[in-house]
Amino acid sequence: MSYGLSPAQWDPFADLRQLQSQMNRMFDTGARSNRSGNWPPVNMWLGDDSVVVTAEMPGVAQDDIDLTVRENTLIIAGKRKRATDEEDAAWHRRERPAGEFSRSIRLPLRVDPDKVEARAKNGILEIEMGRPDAERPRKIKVKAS
Amino acid sequence: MANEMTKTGGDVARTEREDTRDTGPTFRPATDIFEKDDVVTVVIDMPGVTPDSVDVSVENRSLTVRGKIDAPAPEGYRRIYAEYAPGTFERAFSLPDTIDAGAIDATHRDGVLTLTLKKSEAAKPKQIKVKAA
Repeated sequence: MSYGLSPAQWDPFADLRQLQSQMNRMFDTGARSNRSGNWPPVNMWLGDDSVVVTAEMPGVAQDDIDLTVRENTLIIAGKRKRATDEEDAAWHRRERPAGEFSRSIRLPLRVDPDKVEARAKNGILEIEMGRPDAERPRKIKVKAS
Repeated sequence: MANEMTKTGGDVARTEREDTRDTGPTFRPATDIFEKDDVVTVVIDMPGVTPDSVDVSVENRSLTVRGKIDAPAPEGYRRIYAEYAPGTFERAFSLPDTIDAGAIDATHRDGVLTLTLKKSEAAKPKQIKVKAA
């Protein structure tokens, strides 16, 4: 932050930095409320016998995502890492959410846990879920008498 | 450093939308900026943007990043609920003189653009030896 000035010299930003770290702590606490769940943002798509949920999850490694499917509920949970773990890095801007998250999404139909497929591309996770065979709508032919 | 430029157009919060005819709405991507030693790292969330469609440019000490979201609808599905929309991510930053504008490195992975900026040689602290007369 102090270009050309070594920390041993007068540092007019010391107070500011302290304030910033306090603020960051404040926001970190706020980030934990992600547990109550509005991250990641999702879109939902409906097909004939299946439903797709897409979620914007940039920078989350696939191994860090936990998916749970039960009846008509999908839970996306995991942990999003900070851009750096360096203790002595000076932060200028910290807008990207980080930390643990868990989001529960109600689906418009019951899905079969064996018919779940998930893939990630460019930071977007796509989860395709199929309806149980027994619940597929059946076409009933009307016979002429 | 890397202060955000105030712009009237194109610099719209992710939640708000501004419709433009050719590219769709423009979103302001969430950004982390941190500095350690001689390196300033800028991390920008751009979900749905392919690595080759990211555009990073420097002009008059203004650093602009752009990326068009390419996330087609799943085939055979219709959208029934939406919290995010297709469009373009765009954000501009002004570079302080202490940054070497010619040595910016950019990588894009899993929808995250990472820029590595280095301080120019002139901005690094120098030790000056005092010679005995």
